[in-house]
Amino acid sequence: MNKFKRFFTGMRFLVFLVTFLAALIPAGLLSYSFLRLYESKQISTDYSQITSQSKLLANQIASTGYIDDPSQVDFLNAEMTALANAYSGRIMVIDSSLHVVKDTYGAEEGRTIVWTNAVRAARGETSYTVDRKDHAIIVAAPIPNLTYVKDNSQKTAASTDTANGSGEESSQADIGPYLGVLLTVKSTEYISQNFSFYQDSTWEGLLLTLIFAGFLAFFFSRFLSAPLQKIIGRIPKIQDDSEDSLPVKGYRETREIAVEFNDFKQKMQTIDSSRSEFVSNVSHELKTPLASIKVLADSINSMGDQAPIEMYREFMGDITHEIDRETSIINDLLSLVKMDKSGVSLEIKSMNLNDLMESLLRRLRPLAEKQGVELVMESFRPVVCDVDEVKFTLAIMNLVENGIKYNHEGGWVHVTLNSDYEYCYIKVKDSGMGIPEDSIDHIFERFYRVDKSHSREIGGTGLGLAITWNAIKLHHGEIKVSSILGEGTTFDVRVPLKYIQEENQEEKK
Amino acid sequence: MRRKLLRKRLLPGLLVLCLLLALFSGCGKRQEKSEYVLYDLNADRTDFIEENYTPTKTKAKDMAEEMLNDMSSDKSSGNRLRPIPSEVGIQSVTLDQESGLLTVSFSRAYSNLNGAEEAMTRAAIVKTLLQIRGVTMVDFQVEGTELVDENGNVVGAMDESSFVEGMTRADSPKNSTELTIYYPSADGSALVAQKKKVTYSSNIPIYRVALNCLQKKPKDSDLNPAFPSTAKVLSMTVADSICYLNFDTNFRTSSSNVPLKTAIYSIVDTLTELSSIKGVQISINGENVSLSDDDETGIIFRRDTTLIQEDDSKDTD
Repeated sequence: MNKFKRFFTGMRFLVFLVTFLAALIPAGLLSYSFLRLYESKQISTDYSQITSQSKLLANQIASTGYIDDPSQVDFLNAEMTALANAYSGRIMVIDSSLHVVKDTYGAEEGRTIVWTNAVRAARGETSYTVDRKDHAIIVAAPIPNLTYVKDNSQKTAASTDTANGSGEESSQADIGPYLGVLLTVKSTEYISQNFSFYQDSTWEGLLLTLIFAGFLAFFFSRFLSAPLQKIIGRIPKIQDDSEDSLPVKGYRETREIAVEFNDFKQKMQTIDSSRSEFVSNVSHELKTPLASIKVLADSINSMGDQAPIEMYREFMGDITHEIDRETSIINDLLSLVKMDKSGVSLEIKSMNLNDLMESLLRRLRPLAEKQGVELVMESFRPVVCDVDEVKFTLAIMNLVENGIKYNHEGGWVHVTLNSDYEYCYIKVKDSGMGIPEDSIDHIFERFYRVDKSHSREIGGTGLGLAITWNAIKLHHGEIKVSSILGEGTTFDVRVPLKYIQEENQEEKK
Repeated sequence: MRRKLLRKRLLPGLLVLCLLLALFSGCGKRQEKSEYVLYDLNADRTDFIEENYTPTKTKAKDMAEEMLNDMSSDKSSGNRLRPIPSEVGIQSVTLDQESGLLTVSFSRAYSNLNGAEEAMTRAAIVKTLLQIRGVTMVDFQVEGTELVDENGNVVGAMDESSFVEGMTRADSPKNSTELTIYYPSADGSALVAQKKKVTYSSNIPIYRVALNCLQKKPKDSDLNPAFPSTAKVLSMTVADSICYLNFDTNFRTSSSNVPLKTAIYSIVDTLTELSSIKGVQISINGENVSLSDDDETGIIFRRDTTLIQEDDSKDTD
């Protein structure tokens, strides 16, 4: 059961079916309409030919007075017999009383025809019907009265004076504009024979088309689905690590899929290795203060009562310092985790950014002094913006801190604050070591460190910029970075002045 | 629970109701086509419309008078025109019981009808009257004199076959006659005569009917058909008493167990039984068929009775 379901819901089957039908259905429709067209065209050709022949014959009948005495006009009899033979059919001459004067079959002479088309023809209407069962076309044409005058009609041919029952009127009552009807029956056997011949050929053609379409559809569907099948087969192997990546070949779409997939895999791998690195980093970082604390505590313990109080004080100070360090590491981790959780609520307040930034910088001034880095703030105007004080401060603090940390003695960090009617703009520019080009796309990634060898010296966790990025995003803002290695880095932050609850802004990294 | 019970009762009940309705509607339909109809004319008098009719009289002559009365155009309704014009009166109606001839004499006003219109009117009246049991022929008179049409022909007594209502096989009147067909014998060496009663539409010429008989194997005997059923007659025409036959290639197949001579004379002798045919030329796809290389091209086969054997199984004459 499952195998059937798999087969029928597959792309291959669908492509096969569509290709097959796309070849077959038009072919079938075309042949069918061609056949019908042939048939109707033949019949209409026959009709026009018979009609013109009928008109000729009808005129001859009218001008020779045939209807009055058929036996006197022998050549017409011969002509009609020849014509009927040529048509493999039959010709009947009928007078205005619908009385059959002549029948090439001889069968109906003397009878009265009350067929609708004949009656209509007696009134001047030429028509044809097709007898599909017996394969014949029957044309009914009027025989005109050549001497008919609208108000009074008289026949020119010899009139036979037979007494009429009514007595008063003359024996030749006005016949009217038509002397009678000429019925021509032509066999359409040849049409139906041709038709069945064409039909047979069409069937053969269709069969060939069927086979051809089948092959085409089969191979085409295979061609289309093969690359996808390969991909499907390859991915588990990639997961198992037995294969490295998807081969980029085939037509454009599959190639694009392969490229995107490989990129994605790379990213995942990078994230994964970064994560493992982070874990080892974190445990390393977490262990270090503890190790220091242990050393300090052990030293004090080993000295016993002989330790001077200054030493106690000094060592306790160191221990406190290490504990603080450990705490800040853990806090960083916690804030990142919190920001990662969806549904984090911001406590948005309208705040004066000038004051906020100034107090922020004030807190960082000791660090800057220690590093020998000049810290300058510039503001173009008073800026009031909707922010979450804690997170926003954290975000900017990280940027400035980085500017200080990744700098050299004598360097500087410039912080600029500006705004327009919609956004506030904060620029943090430093003259530090800069960020290499191949790392600049990754710096906002969690746990990412440009230079891993110096991470311990510089301190921190590699989470600072990730926290900043997250925080700015939560404010529906944007952050950009540009840097020249050896010269410095610039961070540009843009935050909308008014915070709107709905997420209707595009998030661009 | 109540719903289920309702369904149990309701559904079968509906079914029974439907069945009954179907039955009665069927009954109704059967009653729809009455035993008699009046033949009315359509608006432009080119076709007939049947109208259900129930006469009150039972004796033939009385019924005829009643019908003629009811066929007056005053009594027309809707698009159906009763055939007899209102100014035409019926002077007398007589029925000869022995021959079944019904004679109807109309007033002078009948002569005002002419041409096709008169023919249609006459046909409608006669068709209606011929339904009466005891009436086999109808004769029209005007003021006591035989009806003559506008071309001077005396109309005379009319029966069903006097009117041809259509040109197709189904509509044409049927002729019936007895033909003598010569079939090849079981071993193919001789011809056996068989008398056959055929009924055919006047749409087909008699010689074609005869040929068609030769294509089928006669029932209850081991005689052969003259040519296979898969053979097609491409054309068959008669000119100057010679019949020209053109078959397709299936006329002679490898499975024909009848020698060519027997097959040919089976056709020739059957067709020359008809007075209109004195010789036959046979061709396959236009190529003339001959029996030996000495024969000139386009040979016409004449009647040859040497192959005919006495048939002792069926009765003759």
